[in-house]
Amino acid sequence: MSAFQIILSILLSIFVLVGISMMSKVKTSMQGNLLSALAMLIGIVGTVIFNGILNVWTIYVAILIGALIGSVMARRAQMIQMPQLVALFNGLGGGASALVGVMTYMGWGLQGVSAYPHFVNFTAMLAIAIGMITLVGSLIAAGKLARIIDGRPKVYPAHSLMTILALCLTVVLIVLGTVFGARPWIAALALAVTGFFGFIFAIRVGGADMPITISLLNSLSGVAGSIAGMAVSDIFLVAVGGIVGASGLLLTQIMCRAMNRSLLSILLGGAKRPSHHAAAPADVVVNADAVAAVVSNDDLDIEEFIKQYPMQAQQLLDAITALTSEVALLREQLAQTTSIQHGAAPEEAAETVQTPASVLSNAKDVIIVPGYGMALAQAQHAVKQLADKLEYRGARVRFAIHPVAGRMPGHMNVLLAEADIPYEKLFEMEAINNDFQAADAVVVIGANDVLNPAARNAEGTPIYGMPVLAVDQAKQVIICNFDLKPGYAGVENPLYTREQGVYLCLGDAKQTLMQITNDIR
Amino acid sequence: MIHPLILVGIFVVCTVAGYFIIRTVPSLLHTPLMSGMNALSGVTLVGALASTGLAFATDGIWAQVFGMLAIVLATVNVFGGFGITHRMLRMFNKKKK
Repeated sequence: MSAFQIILSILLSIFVLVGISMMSKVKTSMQGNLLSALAMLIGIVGTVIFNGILNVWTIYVAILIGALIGSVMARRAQMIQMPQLVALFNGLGGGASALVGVMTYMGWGLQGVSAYPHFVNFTAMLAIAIGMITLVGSLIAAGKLARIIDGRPKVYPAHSLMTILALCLTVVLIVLGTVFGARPWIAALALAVTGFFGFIFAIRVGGADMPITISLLNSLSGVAGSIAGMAVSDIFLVAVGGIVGASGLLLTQIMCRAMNRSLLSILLGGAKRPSHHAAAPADVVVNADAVAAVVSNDDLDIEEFIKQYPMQAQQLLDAITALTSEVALLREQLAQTTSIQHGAAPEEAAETVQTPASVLSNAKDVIIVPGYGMALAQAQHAVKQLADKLEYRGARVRFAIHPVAGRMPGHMNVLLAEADIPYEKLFEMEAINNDFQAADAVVVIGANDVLNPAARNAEGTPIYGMPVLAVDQAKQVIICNFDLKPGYAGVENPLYTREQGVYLCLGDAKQTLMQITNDIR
Repeated sequence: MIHPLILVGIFVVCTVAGYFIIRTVPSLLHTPLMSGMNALSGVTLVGALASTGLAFATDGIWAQVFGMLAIVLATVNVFGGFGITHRMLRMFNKKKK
């Protein structure tokens, strides 16, 4: 590598850093992105020229194919598909790094014998490992986000054991590869084992832990590239890979802090909690049957019966409590549905019965809290219409964005931007949390865990200690969620059963919102 | 051939520099940032190009197959990543007027 090449590499790396720092402001962000892309383009052209491979036709064919696929995907994609697309592209980058690792490990494209064969072998093997984990992990994550595969966390028998085993095997293979050098079977085995590791690590992550996984994989793809760069001795590649790795790590850290969880607990314990709440009605039936059987059994040993009685009674009591709350919820649900349907009721009725529309009609200060449900229902445009109407009527409308709302960092911001909501109206949690008290009304759209007041006091639950939006302090809360099931964390939200000033509008958020917007007069 | 220690040194310096620069990005722009970073991670294309190109004359068909696959994957990553980031940022910007 000549001095000129080295200087150019360093210059380009600085370009990339400047480009990224320009992305910290909305105004300059587009130029920043273009600058990074330009640096990359120069890097690519430079690589082709300096290596004297201008006449190799295969690379042009491959570039053409890749550019075509990439451009079409970028153009066709809807904003709603953003999380899975980012995950997918990310995986491809990781896969490319793994392949570069394979090539270098096999000694393809290396001119002469390297002065540091063990370093080259080691970094090549490491690039294979990290790249492959990124590829398979990202594909699984993308599949989950796109709902091609079941999005819930999946745990296999002996999951942790398999994880540890795959990890150990990976380390052994890297050592073997470093010592022995080019052996096709080591490369093949490494691809298989690390691919399996990527699968088993990503399959147990789901729901709200997705943003963290995505940013972690993003970080890994950068690290994989950087290490592939060490293997092929390319400064630009090492530098940019390192920058990407750092960014992913930082975002991961931010997400973890926002959820008050450690990275390790998410990777290892993502799916430990059973959703016992959802299973309550089924339990009721079983328990009641068991009690009936016990009572009606004439041959039953009386002593046995007496011994079991307290337990059975307790089960019955539990069942009754569960049923009562279920009935209360259903009743509330029913009342809300009817009130929405009769939103256009005569004025006198509106005087006595408050509906979401009437609450909003009188509100002067409204805070909207979006969550993943808004993304699912594609309700961002309906949200915009509601906000417009409220503003037209003189109300002040703001949006409260929790750091982990949605399925990737900044997910809500992108969706709301797509609906033309100016970013000046979006507020981060710390900036707006004290204003909930004074707000006339809060509209929750498809959000659950990020505003669950149980996070403050429900010790032992997954969300305990997680900073949440102080929606419960608002006087009037309108909740437009699909159903009343607990969110991903599986913790009941006490807001749902608080009757005072809480309006539940269940069903598709888009339709509910449009209905409410229509009814505001 | 560059000395391994220099390469590792560059990695460390860039990681630290990147970390501090990225800290200034507000959460509003985290998705475009991530998507931009994602595009940048396709920089491995540079490595793929060099390996494939150099292997063309000396190594067999397998080297070309692996190499072309690597180039295709990395190029999809680069073009898709930058394209999507650009679209997203344009969305943020169109409201400015």
